[in-house]
Amino acid sequence: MDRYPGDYVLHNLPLLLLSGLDAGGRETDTDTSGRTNAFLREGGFRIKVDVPAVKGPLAEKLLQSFCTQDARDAPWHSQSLAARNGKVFQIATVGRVYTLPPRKAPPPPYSPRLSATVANGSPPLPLVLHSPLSPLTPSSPLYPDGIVSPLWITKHQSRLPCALVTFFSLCSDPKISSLEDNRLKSEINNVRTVLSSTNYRTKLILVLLGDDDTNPSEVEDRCNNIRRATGLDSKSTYFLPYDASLAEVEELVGSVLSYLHLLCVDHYRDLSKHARRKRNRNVVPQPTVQPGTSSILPLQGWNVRYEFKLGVFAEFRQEMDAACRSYETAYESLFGPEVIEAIAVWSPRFNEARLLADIIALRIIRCLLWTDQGTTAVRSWISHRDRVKDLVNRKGRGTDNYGWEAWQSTWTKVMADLLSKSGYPPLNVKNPEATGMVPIFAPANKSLPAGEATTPWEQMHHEGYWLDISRRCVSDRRKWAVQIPAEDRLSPGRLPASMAASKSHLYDAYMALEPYREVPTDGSVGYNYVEEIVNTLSAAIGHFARRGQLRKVEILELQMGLEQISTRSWAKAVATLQPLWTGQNWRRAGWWKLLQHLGWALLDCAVNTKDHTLLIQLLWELSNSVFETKPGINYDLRLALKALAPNHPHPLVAIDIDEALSPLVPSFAFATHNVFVGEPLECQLSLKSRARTGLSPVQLTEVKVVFEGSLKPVYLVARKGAPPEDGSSLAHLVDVNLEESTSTATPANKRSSAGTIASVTGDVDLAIPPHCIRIFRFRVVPREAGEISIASITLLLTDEKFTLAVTSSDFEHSTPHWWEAKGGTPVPRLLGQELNAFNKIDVKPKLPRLQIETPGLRRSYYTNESIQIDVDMLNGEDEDAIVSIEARMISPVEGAAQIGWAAPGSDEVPGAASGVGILTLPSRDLGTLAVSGRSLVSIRVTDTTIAVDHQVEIIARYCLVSEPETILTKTLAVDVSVVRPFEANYDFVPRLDTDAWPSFFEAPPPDTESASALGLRYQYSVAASICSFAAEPLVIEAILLTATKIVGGAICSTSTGIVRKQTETAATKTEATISSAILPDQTETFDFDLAVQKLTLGDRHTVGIDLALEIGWRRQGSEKVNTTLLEVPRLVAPMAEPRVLLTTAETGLGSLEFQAKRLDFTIENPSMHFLTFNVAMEASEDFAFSGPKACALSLVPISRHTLTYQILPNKKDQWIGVHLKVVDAYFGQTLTVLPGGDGVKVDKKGSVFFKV
Amino acid sequence: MALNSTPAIACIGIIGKHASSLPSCCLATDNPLHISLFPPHQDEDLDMTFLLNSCLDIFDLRARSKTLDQDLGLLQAIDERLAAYGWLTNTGIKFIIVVDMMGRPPPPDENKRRFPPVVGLRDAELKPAFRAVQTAYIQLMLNPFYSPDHRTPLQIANYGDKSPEITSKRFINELQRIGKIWTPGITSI
Repeated sequence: MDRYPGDYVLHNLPLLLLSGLDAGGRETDTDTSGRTNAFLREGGFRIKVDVPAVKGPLAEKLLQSFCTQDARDAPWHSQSLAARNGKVFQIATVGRVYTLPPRKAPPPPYSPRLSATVANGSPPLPLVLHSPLSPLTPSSPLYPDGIVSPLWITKHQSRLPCALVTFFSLCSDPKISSLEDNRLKSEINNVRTVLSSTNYRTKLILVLLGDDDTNPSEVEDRCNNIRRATGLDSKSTYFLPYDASLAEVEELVGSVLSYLHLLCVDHYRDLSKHARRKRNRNVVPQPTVQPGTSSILPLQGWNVRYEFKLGVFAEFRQEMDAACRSYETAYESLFGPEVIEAIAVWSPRFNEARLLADIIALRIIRCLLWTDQGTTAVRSWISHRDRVKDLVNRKGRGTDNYGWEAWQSTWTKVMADLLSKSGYPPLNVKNPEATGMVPIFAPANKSLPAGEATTPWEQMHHEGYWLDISRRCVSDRRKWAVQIPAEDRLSPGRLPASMAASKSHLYDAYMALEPYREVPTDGSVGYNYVEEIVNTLSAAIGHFARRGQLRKVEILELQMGLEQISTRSWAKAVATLQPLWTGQNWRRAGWWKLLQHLGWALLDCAVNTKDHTLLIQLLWELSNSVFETKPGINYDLRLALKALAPNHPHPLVAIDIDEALSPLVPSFAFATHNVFVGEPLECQLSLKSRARTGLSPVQLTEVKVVFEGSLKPVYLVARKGAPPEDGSSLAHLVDVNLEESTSTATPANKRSSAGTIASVTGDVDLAIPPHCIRIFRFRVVPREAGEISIASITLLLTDEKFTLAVTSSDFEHSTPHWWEAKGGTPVPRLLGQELNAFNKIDVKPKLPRLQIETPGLRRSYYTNESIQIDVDMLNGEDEDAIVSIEARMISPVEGAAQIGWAAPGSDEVPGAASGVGILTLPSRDLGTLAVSGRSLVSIRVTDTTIAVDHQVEIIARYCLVSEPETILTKTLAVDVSVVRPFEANYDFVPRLDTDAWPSFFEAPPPDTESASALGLRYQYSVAASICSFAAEPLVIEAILLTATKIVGGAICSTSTGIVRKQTETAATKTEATISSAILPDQTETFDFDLAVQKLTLGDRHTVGIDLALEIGWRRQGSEKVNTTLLEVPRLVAPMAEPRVLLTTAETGLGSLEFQAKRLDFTIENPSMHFLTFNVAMEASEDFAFSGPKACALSLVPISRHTLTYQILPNKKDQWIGVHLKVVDAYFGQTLTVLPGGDGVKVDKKGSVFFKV
Repeated sequence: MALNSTPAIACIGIIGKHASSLPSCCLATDNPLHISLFPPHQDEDLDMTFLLNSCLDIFDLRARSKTLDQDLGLLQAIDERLAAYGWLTNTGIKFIIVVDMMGRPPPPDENKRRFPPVVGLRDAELKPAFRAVQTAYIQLMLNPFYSPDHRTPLQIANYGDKSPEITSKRFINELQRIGKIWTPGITSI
C-alpha cells in the first residue's frame, strides 16, 4: 500500500485544526515547502492571529487530550467507529498563522500572442476560473484530461478543515482584562472575516482558557460579551478555568467533539451535494483555456471524478455503504470504453488511470472490510486483478513481464495491509474453545445468498498468506526482469535519443522501475528484490507465528535463507538457515525431502563461508541414505575439508546420533544376562553403515564404548595401514582381542578426560563402506558385581584437519541383534523380544568355587537311627581359602530330631533352636584349605523319633587368602528324610503253664524275696509279624518284647524273639535263631514267650500289660546297630476266669501210617469258687478216641484238672477239628477250648484243631 | 491461466502419527507416509511437500479446540488455486487433499473456454474422497503382515531397515483412482 500516494489510500476522517495552543514545535502541520503544497497554498486564504499561542500546563493538558482523540491510527473498521461513538477526527495542530487552500486558481499569465489572436478590439472574455486542481485549470497537473489527482484528497484531508478550533487566554488581571477582551474580539472577528470570505463552511470554535482565578459570573459576562461581539453562537464558545482538572479538560474536549460531529457531517454532506449537482448537470465544463489538443476529459471521465468525490466525502462522513456505492459506480465508469480504454497506453494518463482504478478498488475493499464482508472483498480483489490483467493484455504490454508481477505483488500486499489496518475482527476473534487461538481464515460471509458456493480462497485468509503470495510475485518479477535483453537495460542517457524513445514504451513501468533502473547493466545496483522479499517474508512470518503456524514459519524462513543465498549473503543465510537445521521439527517427523532441501542450501553456504564445523555436520548427516546425492559435492569429509581451506584451525565437531541422521550407526549387545564377576563376557559392537550407495567408505579412527557401571571403556582403534576387508559380503564378523591399555600407546590419552580412566583397546579395521555392517566381537571381564549398561558409543574421526565425534547414547529403542556366523556369513538373530534388552545386564557376584559334597548321604533314614552326614569340602579356587562352616536343620515338626557336629575328639555341640523347627549349629572354623585340598566334617542327626523329612543346610563361608575382605558363600542343602523302618502285627496265643500251680494251703516262703510273685502264672505265646518298610535290606540282630507298663499287680517276663521258620521241622526247631535279614517289603515273624504272674494268689483282678517291641537292627555292611521301638497293643489277661487249654502229645502208639495222639484238655479254675463243669466229647469222622465221652467235673478253687483222650486219626498231616464241650454247670456257660501248646490252633469260629 | 473450470484434486497426502511413548515427543512427529500427485502438479513434489507440511500446523491448532471432528474441512488455501482439506482418523493418521480450483488441463479435443466461471467448493464435497481414502487405508492396514514401527522416523532412518512410507501398489493405485475420479458433487467414489 505504501507504493500508492499516502492520501490516496488512507481512510478519510474529518479534519479538525487546533490553532493557538502552544505545541512546543510539535505542530502537525505538514511541510510547507514542496510542490504539492504550493498548489494548496498559492492564492490561499491566510488566517493570522497576532495574539501569542496559549501556553502553560492547562494548554498542554488540553492539547494532549485533543491529540488522544485523533483517530488516524484507529482501525479501519465499523467496530472501531462504534467504539468512539462515531466521533472520529483527524486532529492537527497549527500555529497562529494558517493558510486555507485557494478556491480558484489564479488566472493564467497574460499572453500577448494569444490575446492578439482573439483581440479584435473588444476586451478579452473574462476567464472562467476553476480550482487549481481541476483538469480545467491550465496550471493543474490534470490539465487537460486528467481525472483526479491525489492532491485533491490531500486538500480535504489535511488542508481544508471542517472546523477550526482557536484557543485564547482569558486575561484575569482586572486592570487590562477589558483591553485584552477587546483585542480578542478584533482578532476573532478577523478570523471570521477571512473564513466567510473563503466560502468554505469551516466552523469556528472558540475556546477561552482562564489564566488565573476569576469570578465565574464575571467570566460568564465576559464570555457572553465576546460572543456577542464576534457573532458566535453559545455552542461555539467554551471556557476552561485555569484550575481545570484532567476530567474537566476531557469533558470539554468531549463536548467540543460531540458538537462538531454533526456539523462535520453536514460540512461533508454539503460538499457531496455540490459534487452531485455538478455531476447531475451532465455537461463537460468549460476549461479556463481551451487546450490546443483535442483530448479533454470526456463526460464519463467527469462522472468518474464526481463519483469518486462523492465516495470520498461519504467516507469523510464515515458512511461506508454510501461510499462503497459511489466507488463502485466510479470504478465501473472508469473501466467504461470512453475513459480508460480511450487513453493511449503511452500516455502518462494511462498509468494515472490505472492508479485511480487501484485506489478505487482499494477503497471498495476497505468499505467491504469495514462491514466484515471478507468474501466479497476477496472477490472484489480478484475481479480488479482480472480486469487489470485483461486491460494490460489488450492494451498494455501483457502480463508476462516484470511490471505486471510488480503490480501484482503490490496489489497483493494491499490486501494484507488493508487487513492489518482494519484489524479485521473475524480473523482476530479469539476462539472461545481454545485459548489464544486466532483463526487462520474467516469463514464465508453469512450475508451471501444462501446456496452460493464460495471458493476456498474467498474465505478471507490472514495477512501472512497474502504476503506470501506477494513474495512469490516479487520472485517472478525478478525472474522476468533478468530476462530483459541487455540492450534494453542500458541507461537512456547512453543511448541515442531516438532509440531511447523507442525503448521507453516497451516495458510497463507502472509500479516498477524502468528496465535500466530495474536491472542495470552498468553495474549499479538495480531493484533490490531480495530486500523486498526478505521484508515481505519477515512480515508474513510475523503473522504466521502469531497464529502458531510454526511449520509454515520454518518454510518461510527457509525461503528467506534461499533468497539470501541468491544474493550470496552467505553469512546472513547461515544465520537464517542454521537454526532450522539444528531445529528438530522436520528431522523428528521424517520430512527428509524438506530437510534435504535445507541441507543442500546450507551446504552451499558452508562451502562459501568456509565454515568447517557446519560443513562437517552437513556432510555427515547428508550422507545418510534417506537423502539424495547433491551433484558436485564431495561427501568424503577428509577430501572435502582439504579442498576447502588448507590452513584452518582444527575444528572439533560433535554430533549426537539420537538427534541427527548419521551414515554410520553403532549398536551394542551383551551376549547373555548370566554374568558373573570375573568371567569373560562376550559382546558385539556392530557398526552399520546407513550411507548412500556410491559414497566412499567412512574411515573412522576410533570407536569408544563407555559403560555405565564398573566396566572399563573399550576403545577400538583403526589399525594403521590395515588392508580393507574384502567387500564381497555386506556383513563381517571381526574378532577383536582387547588389551589393557598402556599409558602411552592409546590415542585416548590425548584427551585428558578419557585418559584417566583405565580402558581396554583393540586394533581393528574401521573403514566401513556403504550398506556394510561390521560386527566386532570381543570379551570384557566385569570386575565388580552390579548393573552394567551401555552408556554411550562414540565414533571418532580424527584428521589433521578436524575431529568429529559422533555419539550415540540413547539405546532404548534399538532392537538388539546377535550376529552368528552361518555358513561363513553373519546372520542376525533377534536377541529377546524387548527393545534394549541386551544393552543392560546385571553382573552377579563371583561364583564360589568351593565345592561341598555329602558323600554317602542315603535316600532315606529310619526312625531312631543315628544319622551321620559327612560333608566334604573341596577348594576349587585358584588359591588357598580360609573356610568356616555352619549348618542348620529345618524340620516340619519341632523337636523331631536333634542335630550336632560329630566332631572327633571334641564334645558334641548341640544345635540351638533359632526358629520354629529350625536348629542352627554354631559356626566352625575349618582353617585354611589349600588349593584342591579337602576337608571333612560330619553332622549328626539324632533322636529321630518321628518319621518326617528334614532339610539340612550347610553354609560354607570363605575368603581367599589374597582377598580377605571378600567373603564368598557356598550353600548346600540336603534333604534328610526319616521313615519308620518296620511295622508289625501281633498274635497272642495262651499256653499251658506246665509248672504246677501254687497251692493255696502252702505258706508263702519266708525268705526275703518278698517281691517274688506268688500268684498264678499265665503263659502266652506272642507272634510278631514284622514288615520291613525300609528301602534296603536290613539285618535284624535281635528283638525283645518288653513290658513297659503292667496294671493289676502282676509281673511279666518275656523271652527274646525267635524267628519262625516257614518250613519248620522238629529237628531244626531246637536251634532257635534270633537274628534275621529282612528284605524290603518282606514280612518276618518272630515268636515270643510271655508269662504273666500275679503277685498274690487269689488276686482276681484283670491284668493289663503294655508291651513294646524293641528291634535291634543294622544296615547291611554296617556294624552300627540301631534300635527301633514298636508299640504293641495292650494285652489284657483275665486272671479269674475258668478256661480250657488243649495240648497234644505223641503217644507212640498206632500204626506207622496213623499214629495215635494224646489230647490233654486242662480245665483251670483260677477263681475262688467251686465250679462244676459238664464235659462231653463229640465224636468225629476223622478220628477214633478213647476217654470219657461225657462226664461232670468239679474243680475246687485254684485248681486244675486234665482230661486225657487218646485219639487215633484216620488222616495224616492235617489239621483235625476236635470238639469238647465244657459247660459251667452253675453259670451254664460254655467254655471255649483254647490252644495251650504247639500243634493246636483255633479258627475264627472258635473251633479247635490239632495237627496230626 | 484457466485450465478447466472444475476443481480437481492436485495432491493427496497421508501423514502418519508416530505413536511415541514419550508424551513430550508429541510435538511434530507427523511423518509423511505417502504423497500422491496429480496433473498438472506431478512435478511439484517439493512445493506440495511444503504445503502438506504447513497443513500440519492447522491440524495442531484444531486439535487444541475441544471438539474435533474427523472431517476438518478447509485447512487453508494458499492462493486462488490451491486449497488444502484435512481429515483426521481416530488413530491419528491424517489425510490431506489439496484441491486445484483450476482443475486439470482439458483434454486436447476440448475447446478452451476463456475465463470459465470458477465453481465454488463446499467442505462437504470432499467427504466422499476422504472416505474413499480412509477405506483404502483400512484395506492397507488389514494386511496381517503390516506391523507399525514404534520408533521415531529419525531412529528408523538411522537404525531401521524398513521405511515407514507406504509402498503398496494397490494403495497407490487406489489413491490415483480416487484423485482422478473425484469432482465436486460426486456422492461416492
